[in-house]
Amino acid sequence: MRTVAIHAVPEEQLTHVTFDATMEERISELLTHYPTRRAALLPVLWLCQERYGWIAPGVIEAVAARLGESPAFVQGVVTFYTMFYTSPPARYVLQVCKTLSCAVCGGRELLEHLKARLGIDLGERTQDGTFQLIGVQCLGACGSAPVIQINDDYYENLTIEQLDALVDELSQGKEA
Amino acid sequence: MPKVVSVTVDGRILAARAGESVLELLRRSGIWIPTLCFDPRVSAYGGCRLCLVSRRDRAGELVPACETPVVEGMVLETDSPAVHRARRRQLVLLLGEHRLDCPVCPTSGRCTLELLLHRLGIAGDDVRRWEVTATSGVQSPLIVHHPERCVLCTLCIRLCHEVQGVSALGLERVDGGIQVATFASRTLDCEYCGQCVAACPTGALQLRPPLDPVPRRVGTGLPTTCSLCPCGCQLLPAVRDGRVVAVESQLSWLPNRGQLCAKGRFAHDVLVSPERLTSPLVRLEGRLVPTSWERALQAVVEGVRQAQAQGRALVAFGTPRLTCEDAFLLQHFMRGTVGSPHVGVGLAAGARALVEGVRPVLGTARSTADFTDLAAADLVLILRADPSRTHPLVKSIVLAGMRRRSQQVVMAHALSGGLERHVDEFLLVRPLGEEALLYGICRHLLTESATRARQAAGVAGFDQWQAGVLHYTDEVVQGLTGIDPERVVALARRLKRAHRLVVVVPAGMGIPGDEAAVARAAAGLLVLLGCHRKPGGGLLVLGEKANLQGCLDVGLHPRLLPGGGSAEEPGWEPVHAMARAGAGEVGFLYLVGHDPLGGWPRATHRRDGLEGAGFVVVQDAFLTKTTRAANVVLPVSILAEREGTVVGADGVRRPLHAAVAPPPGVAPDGEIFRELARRLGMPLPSKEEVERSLAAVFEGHLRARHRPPLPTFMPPPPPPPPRTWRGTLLDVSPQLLHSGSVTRYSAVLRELAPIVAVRMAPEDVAAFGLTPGGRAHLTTGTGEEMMMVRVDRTVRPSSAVVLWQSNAEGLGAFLAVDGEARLVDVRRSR
Ligand code: SF4
Ligand code: SF4
Ligand code: SF4
Ligand code: FES
Ligand code: FES
Repeated sequence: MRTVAIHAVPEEQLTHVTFDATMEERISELLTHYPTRRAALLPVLWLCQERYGWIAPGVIEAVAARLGESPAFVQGVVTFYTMFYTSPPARYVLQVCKTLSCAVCGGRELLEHLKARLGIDLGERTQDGTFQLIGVQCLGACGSAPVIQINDDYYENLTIEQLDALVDELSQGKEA
Repeated sequence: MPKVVSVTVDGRILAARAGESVLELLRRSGIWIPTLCFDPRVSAYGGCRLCLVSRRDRAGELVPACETPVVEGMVLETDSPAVHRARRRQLVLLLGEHRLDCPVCPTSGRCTLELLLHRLGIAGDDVRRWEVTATSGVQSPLIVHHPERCVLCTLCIRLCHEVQGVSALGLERVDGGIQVATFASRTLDCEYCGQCVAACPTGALQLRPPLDPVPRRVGTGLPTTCSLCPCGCQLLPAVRDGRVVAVESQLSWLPNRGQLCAKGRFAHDVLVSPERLTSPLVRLEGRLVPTSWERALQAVVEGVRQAQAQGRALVAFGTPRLTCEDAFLLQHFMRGTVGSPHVGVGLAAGARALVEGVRPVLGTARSTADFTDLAAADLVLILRADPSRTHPLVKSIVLAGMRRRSQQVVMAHALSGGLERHVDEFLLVRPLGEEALLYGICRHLLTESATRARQAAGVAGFDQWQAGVLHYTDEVVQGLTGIDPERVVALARRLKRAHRLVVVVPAGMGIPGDEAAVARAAAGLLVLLGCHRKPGGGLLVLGEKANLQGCLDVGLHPRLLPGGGSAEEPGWEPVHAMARAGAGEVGFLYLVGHDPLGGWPRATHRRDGLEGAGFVVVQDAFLTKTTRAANVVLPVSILAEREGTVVGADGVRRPLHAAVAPPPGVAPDGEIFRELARRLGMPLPSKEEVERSLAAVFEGHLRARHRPPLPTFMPPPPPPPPRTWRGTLLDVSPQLLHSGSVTRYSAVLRELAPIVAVRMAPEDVAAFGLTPGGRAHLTTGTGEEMMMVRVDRTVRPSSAVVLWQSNAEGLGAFLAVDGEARLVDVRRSR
């Protein structure tokens, strides 16, 4: 399995966003699946997060203009869902499950270990911008607790050793 | 589905309309239940849960009345102990996050939340409160926002989105939770209508002092009609110490249902503007000096007599803001007392559309659709410009129609605007292309449906019209409009399918194209479709000023008599009159509320005309640019000082009720006409006689609605050669916040309105090497100006929008009197 690193486009490059042909094509395609343009807002935002790494204010404006919504409304949707990044994320976002099954099966230890090893607290990122640590609620994989999600991938039944190996690999720039 | 369903409420059987909500049923039946997040103008939200009622037919389940549709056999309880308990618990929960500081809150006394606390019997110690601290809220020159008093009912957001179509506000998750916010915490940049504040049920949104002072006297006196545009909004000035300190409106008042725009709500400060004229002025040794009314009126009388003695023409232009009564008196004064046919509304957008566009085809110089028709239409076609820039209420009506999904809206024009993102279809027509588009549609309708052609063949002028229309082939239409023939065909079919079609033709100085030609073509299309006069159908011309329709109705036009008949000896049209004045043929020029040097295009001969006229009288509330050329200046009363009636763009006559007395030294327009006539030895009809004449005029119009004159097709002009556009289109119009004259003197609006700037799309700003906030040099064939550059995403590429504010003189150079569209050269300047 290869976890793809997030490449967050810097904010300076996202002040006036215009969608290129590929994006435009994918957005138009998405729109065909929904009865109204507003209904396509979430998938279009996902597309943008995939493309730009996060949802910058300039992206909100471009999405709003494309869907005929107002930036204030789109901002409300973006900030409602914690899974949309409103600031540039690190290359790897470590999402540690904090809910019961994981917590009792070693999730708590994984979290403490990560904090100590990376020298950051929940919600923070390492200085080199490689890792970011966040706590999340049940990922729906309790059967293989403890679970950590890194970017879009699940790592299940993790031990501290496996986690260390994973972090080593990722920090060497290799995509795991 | 049956149309009526029966619902049992508190043991009573009520007949409900299928599809309505329980709350609507209760309100109609006079049953009060508390609500906090409900407003009939916007969609239900179900957020506050104070409107809970219990469903006995479902084991007492508690449901929110605002969001629950009625169903047959429903059994409801609105007044049981369980219901009261639930509502009280809900309110206590809401209060947990609300800073309850009524004793120091300026909204106290007219706060819905406070009222509900009393009505539901909740005391301070019932409330277990979280620590609620003040956080910073929305920043705005208009509004003070206290998020700690907000109950997240989202009324402000829904009104701004659904009624205003602006959507400046939204919810945002911030550290402390969720709150009302602008995009990226930017300073509120919106239409400043104040609707959000008026609708807020708590003290979370307030107008910035001194815009809404307390205490004040409200609710006394009669509502009056706003004089600032032809939407006809009803408003009630709140008066303190003989001054208007605020303006309110109520949900039950039509046509605006409590809505007002920034002009209506805030421009009342012009009444006490220090710039107001409070004494007549006469020119003595080249300078205007204050004088008595006696002397001033005498000077005017001598001016009239001298012109008559010299055998030179006498000309009067009255602003279409005059009341019907005063407009009637002015035309009577000119035609009767002075004996001159040269009287009219002057250069007034919409006049030509009605007189030269609608009248020849539909028989009267009136729109045939009113706001009720607009609301009931299933298809609305808007041409030439975006009404949201000029007619806020028209915008709100179509927004509501679209939201109910009972209406489709198609727009076709070349300019930029905010409504476009809401409508079903937008056709970007080349400048001046609307007329060709309409004839292109007519041609398709004629060729596609033989029945339709046969039906229309009975209408006078059909053969010639059809022959002309057939010249508008696909190729011709595409060359003039830039629209693909398939889209024209699709639009034609869409129009054909519509049962109730309203065509809206906005008119305004600065909108490119010939308003009369477009109105004529639109009227022809409506006749062809049989929609020109049916309920929910017709033509709606939107003029610029409050009483354009009323002025035309009472004969303030060189070609019309009171009641709509043709003048036997037509007087001169405004531009022609100014040209004659320039040639020295005019001995007396009476400008009532007109400021040619300020607001008319340069090409109207305004300067030569004023120089060449023998004697110039300016009647206005302020010293305008034109007073420079005046021999006498007469100060008049305005807005909430006036009595009389005005007729909105929808053809409805509405009263003005004075809320305050004019400042000493100022007279109503009509009184001045009377005094002059008396001095000239031919007094004007009495108040009663005027009312009798007007009553006859308006009864005539009412009758015409039921027994309309027969339509006549007017042949289209031969199609002009195709036009190509390469360059930047200049789009000049008044700001929404300004009507171009009186409102210029409102300090409040001046502060809210951005300074004159050229707005362009981000890509153009970059392409032209301009800097946002920097300056640009604009040149057209007729003038040049320097102004600030602003980036505006709503402006379409290849156009430059200039909204004028106070220096309309400079922009007058940009206005085209011939309706030509202008290209502008925009360069960076240092
Ligand atoms: S003042 Fe009007 S336009 Fe501005 S935010 Fe409030 S409702 Fe919206
Ligand atoms: S500011 Fe007022 S209107 Fe807006 S959500 Fe809060 S309480 Fe409701
Ligand atoms: S200017 Fe027009 S829209 Fe605004 S309040 Fe007055 S009548 Fe209404
Ligand atoms: S508790 Fe962690 S995945 Fe369910
Ligand atoms: S009024 Fe029904 S939930 Fe607020």
